[in-house]
Amino acid sequence: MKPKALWNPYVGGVALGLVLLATFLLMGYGLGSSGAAARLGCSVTYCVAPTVVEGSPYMSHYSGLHLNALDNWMVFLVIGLFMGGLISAVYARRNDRAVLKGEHSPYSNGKRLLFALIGGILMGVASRFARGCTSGQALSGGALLSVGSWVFMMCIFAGGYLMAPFVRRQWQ
Amino acid sequence: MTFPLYQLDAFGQPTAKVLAIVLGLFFGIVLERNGFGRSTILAAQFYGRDNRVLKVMFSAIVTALVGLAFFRTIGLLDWSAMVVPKTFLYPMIFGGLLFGVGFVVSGYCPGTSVVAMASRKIDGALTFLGIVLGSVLFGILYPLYESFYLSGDLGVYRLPDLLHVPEPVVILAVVAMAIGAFLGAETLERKLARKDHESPPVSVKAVRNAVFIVLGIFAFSSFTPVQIHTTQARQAKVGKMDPWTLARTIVKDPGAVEILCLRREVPKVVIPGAERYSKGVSLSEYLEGLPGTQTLVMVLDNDAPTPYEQLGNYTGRITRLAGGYEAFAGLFLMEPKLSDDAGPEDIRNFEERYALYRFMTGSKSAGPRPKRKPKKVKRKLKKDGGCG
Repeated sequence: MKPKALWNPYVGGVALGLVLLATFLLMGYGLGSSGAAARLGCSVTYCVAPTVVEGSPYMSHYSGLHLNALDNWMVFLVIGLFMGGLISAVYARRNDRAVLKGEHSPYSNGKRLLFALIGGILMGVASRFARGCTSGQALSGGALLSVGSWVFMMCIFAGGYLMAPFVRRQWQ
Repeated sequence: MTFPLYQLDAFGQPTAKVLAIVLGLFFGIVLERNGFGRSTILAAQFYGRDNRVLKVMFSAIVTALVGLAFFRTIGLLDWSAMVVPKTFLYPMIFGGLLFGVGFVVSGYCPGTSVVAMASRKIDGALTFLGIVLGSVLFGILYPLYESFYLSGDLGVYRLPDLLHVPEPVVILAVVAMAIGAFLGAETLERKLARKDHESPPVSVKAVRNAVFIVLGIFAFSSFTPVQIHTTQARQAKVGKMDPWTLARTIVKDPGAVEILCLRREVPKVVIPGAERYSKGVSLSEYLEGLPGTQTLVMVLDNDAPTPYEQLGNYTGRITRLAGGYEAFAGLFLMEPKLSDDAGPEDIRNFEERYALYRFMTGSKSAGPRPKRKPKKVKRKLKKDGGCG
């Protein structure tokens, strides 16, 4: 069976905006996901090598990355995000196991996965510098009209468009 | 009811966690149905042929922006309780550029990588792993760039502050800019599709127009003068102070609380440090004279209404003593008695209560009492025949 069609982007955007609005009204904060990844990383590192966390002024107390990731509601938001993604993908029949790349991409799956990992590491570092990612900073901060969030958003597009020609073969 | 609920202490962490899961569920469903669980769709943004990311993102920002303005205008949102991300200019520019590079290389952003992972996309799972590793890497190397990380600190700095124009004007400008970006994106998509001899992504113009007419109308509502229902907002802000917490604070850190007795009767035994507010000055005037850094504890009769209107603009935390004077007096201003069937928990409780009682009433020192004392009291009680 064919997967279900995607939503009209304008309708889908309004739907995302309503979820964001509900989060603002209930919590006073917007949506976020990179913070949860950072907390998870911090907790796992603490279990494996506590001295690394204690030795880093950022991880130990500066940023408020609590040692127990489950102390923070943002982490639960990402748990819900995973569940929601799963439910929707099963419903829309898009939950096939796959390594996604451009239809005519000459990249092997291994190379694609290496790129995914490298891109992830870059975003992990970048989201700490920017104190958030596309959800927490660009989307949420953007809706609150924060100057830094808008600067960050414009820079994401700039960085993406500048880098795009170099990885064109991955997505062609 | 005043929003935002969690920031105004309408519920605590456990409820917040449950709500977060529910909000996350919707977040995940919406991202997935927009196609954001697939790197190919997300990366297409950077090649101009399908600007779905831009359309979804800007529609979402405009919806939330206009929605917040609407709730503020009708007085249901206390804007001061919203957490606006602070601006750190230079690390945010650097972070944005680096993030954009990572985005087009991996094909995901953090939130979408979670959705991709949930729908069994291996590249999504690897991206998420990378994000976790990258965050840890940042933490380990932090001392190398600490000063850069903290540079360009502009605090909470919003577009209306930057542009020196009223907020409603900025809101309308953002809506107009979004519509401009959509029209531009659709033109680009059509041009590139003609060049490739393919059909452009489906765009339902009628839907887009309908959506933006509605959002535009709501955006105009933000021009209505803001009338926050201060009483209502404060109602949500006034918390309860439990007598035990108050008693312990009086002993340990009396400077942290400003106790204000607002009862008509003058009790025989007063709560130590309590100020009797006299009718000479109005309550709001009296509050203005305070530094506003302490937690205000209002002592009222149990059934008396809270004087919300008179709380002015007191900046500190405002609480009302739970159970009123009677509850506090019953616990700490009268000599506590231990019941016959008291367990070890009760005895420990009693010991603290007795110490607090001695402190409050000034009977001898507040020093630690000998451990045996409660038992003696118990015996004495028995002799007296006890009382219900």
